[in-house]
Amino acid sequence: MPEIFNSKINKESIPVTPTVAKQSNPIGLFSAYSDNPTGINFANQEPNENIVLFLRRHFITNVGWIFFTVIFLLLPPILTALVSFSGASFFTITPQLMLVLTIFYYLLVFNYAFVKFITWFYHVGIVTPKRLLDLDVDNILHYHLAETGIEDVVDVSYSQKGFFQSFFNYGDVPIQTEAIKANFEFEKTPHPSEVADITTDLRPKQSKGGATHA
Amino acid sequence: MPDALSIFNFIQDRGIILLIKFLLLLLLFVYVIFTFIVISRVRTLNRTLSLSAAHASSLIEIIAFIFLILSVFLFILILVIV
Repeated sequence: MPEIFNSKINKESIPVTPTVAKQSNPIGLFSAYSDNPTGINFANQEPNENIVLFLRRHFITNVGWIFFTVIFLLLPPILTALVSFSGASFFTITPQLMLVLTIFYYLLVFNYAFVKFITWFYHVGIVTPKRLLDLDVDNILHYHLAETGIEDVVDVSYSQKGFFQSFFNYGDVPIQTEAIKANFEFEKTPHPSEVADITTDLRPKQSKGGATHA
Repeated sequence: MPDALSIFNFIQDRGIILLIKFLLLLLLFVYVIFTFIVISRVRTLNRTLSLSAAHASSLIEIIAFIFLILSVFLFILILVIV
């Protein structure tokens, strides 16, 4: 009698054959997309486990806070010029207090930029031949690390919405995993089609579903 | 009469400066706590993900520490000078 289904197949015994080129790329400080990167390590990484994809949100997504930072940096000199031009004075502030106020203001502005940079810098997705890691840092007080085995990936798709995502070639890559576990999403990642393609190729052959390109 | 007005102005200005000083100290206190949180979070994230490129992980940790030093320095400066 032919065997139609056998649940005893050991998934780990099936060799994983990544189709990604083995040329390693040293990662830069502002890299948002890197295949086979070197210079990265993550917690619980196995000695022979190489990283296939390293992803961050596209650098263009930082334009908003960079713009506001520049505005905040330029605001005090502009306000000072306007007040001195109009000749208005509300109350006397000693030079020492003015100095301290100015330093504190710029400290806040630089800290705002620093925290925004950190949230971008550590908001990463990692793909290895064995697993997927999704480190979400929404703000400095909240971060979430999700991890799943590559054999649990059911479906990989990608989507690009709007002018900017199409123009700069970035988008979301939602990755559906086994029903009980949480789904993954690499948000606003550069080259979403390649990310979906590489992740799909890494899956063991017996996995259900296929990549659907939106 | 002008003397009384100048004394009133002096007290008013002095009061505003003291109020600003108190508010600044309060804000800086909150800010120092916040920088502590940033440092601990950066350390946690560096343990999760380590980037040796351009010493990125250690560089970010150093910058976070500099923010803490600056804020403490500013706190002392307000207490002493202003």
